[in-house]
Amino acid sequence: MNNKQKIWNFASIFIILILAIVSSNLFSHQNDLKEEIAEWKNEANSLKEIPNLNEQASTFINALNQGNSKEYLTGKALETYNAALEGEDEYEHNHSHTGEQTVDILQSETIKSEQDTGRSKVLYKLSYKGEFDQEDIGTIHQRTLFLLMDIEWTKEKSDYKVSDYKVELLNDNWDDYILSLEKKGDESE
Amino acid sequence: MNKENAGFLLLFIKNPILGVVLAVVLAIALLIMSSVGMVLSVTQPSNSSSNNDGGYGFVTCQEGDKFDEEKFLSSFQDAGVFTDNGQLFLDAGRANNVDPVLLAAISFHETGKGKSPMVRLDNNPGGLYNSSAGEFFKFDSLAEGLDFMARNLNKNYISQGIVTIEQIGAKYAPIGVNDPSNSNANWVPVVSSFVADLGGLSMNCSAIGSGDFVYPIPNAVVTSPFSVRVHPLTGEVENHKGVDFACNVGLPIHASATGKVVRSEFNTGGYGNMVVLQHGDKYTLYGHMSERFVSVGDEVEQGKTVGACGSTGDSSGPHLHFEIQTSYFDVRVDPLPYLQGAKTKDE
Repeated sequence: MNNKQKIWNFASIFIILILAIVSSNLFSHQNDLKEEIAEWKNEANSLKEIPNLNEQASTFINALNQGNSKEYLTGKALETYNAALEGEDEYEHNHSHTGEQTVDILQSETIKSEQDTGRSKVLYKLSYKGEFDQEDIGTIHQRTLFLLMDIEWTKEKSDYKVSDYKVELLNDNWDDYILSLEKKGDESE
Repeated sequence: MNKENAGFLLLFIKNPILGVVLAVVLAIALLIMSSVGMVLSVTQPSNSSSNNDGGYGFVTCQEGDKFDEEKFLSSFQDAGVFTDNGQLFLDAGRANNVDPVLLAAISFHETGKGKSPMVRLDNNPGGLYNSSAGEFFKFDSLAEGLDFMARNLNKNYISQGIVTIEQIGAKYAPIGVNDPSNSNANWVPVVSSFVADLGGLSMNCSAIGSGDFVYPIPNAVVTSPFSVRVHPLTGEVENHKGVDFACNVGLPIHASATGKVVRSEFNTGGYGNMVVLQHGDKYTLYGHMSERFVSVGDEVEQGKTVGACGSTGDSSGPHLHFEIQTSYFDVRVDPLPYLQGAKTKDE
């Protein structure tokens, strides 16, 4: 074997090695891509649920307002419901009753925290007549509250249920009225 | 120890007088420091008392339901100048947050049941001595003397947490101090006996707290907790932004913390007689009161009476509605963790 042949042999082996490495890398990258595509597909499917959850959040708030929320509940939310049902509600007290409440959903946002869990934040307006509302004697006691409900969703079988919810009072027209009384007092001074 | 470091020891061994002098100087310095400490510890309570503006400090008393006022008033027969004057004791005691029964029992003891010259001539029912004038106090009327005595009892005893007959006796008539006949040993049993004759003590006294925020009434019983939520069964919004405490009409309501009065008014929004105090970035609100005793702009100490329990505004019975607001008539927080000391003013 002369020198020229030796060089050709060495170059051939080197090229074959490089090609083997490249093809192996391409194959592996293809698998990664497939996995990534599968993940994105899952996430896309998961995100497709967001509009449904937004809608479900509104349905839940309306059902809760009517006192018919049980079928939507699971986990901690269901435990709280059952505790209230058995009269063991830690917050139970004999305070004023609001009577009929009107709910007006203003905005609803949902994020998927994991594949089978999500979280909705719903801004809504709630109006009711207070217990001191007596039109016959000229006492008007009508309340409008702006509330933010934080709902945690957990997927059970194929349906999402509310595993926990909290409400935060953002504004109460009663406070505005009390502050306006102070301003009136200031103006008259 | 190196020889170099032992130099000062060698100095004292060689000069024992110097050592003795240093030891004496050290002992004198220690004596002075401990005396200063004792003086400070003795003067501190009286300072805190005077800061209370004649108020009730952090201990306050609540009249119980079992007080037999008729029996109390009927005990003022054959009682010297006190005869038929039971109402004066009731007025002075209630006005100064002192149990009228305790006030009467001590007065009976100090004056031989209303017959001593000091009460007959000088209207001094407590035998109180004016140390700065070097003579016993003299008053124009028995009512004035009783009011002074009740104020003194509150300031120097009740507000300091000295509330039982035994505790008061130990300070009022200490056994063996300026008492050659040992008559002070009889103080507690005799006063206790008078208390029993008058129908028993009528008030329960207790501390209302010692944190940034204290309970606005003594022996506070929560009748409705703080609750901003949706009821899980009914869906009704529970919008109770404060905590309700049970109280009898007229019971003094105390400032939960030192602060400035920003509102004192009859609120037509439902709070009725309402007082709002500002404490830095937080506010406390006292609602449904029967009376208000402070005005906008007043600076009030923690424990000062700001009003009296009532049922004004949107209220179905006597109670105190108490709120802590973290922003003015906007965000409220549950007051109980603050009152129980679990949260401080800065949280």
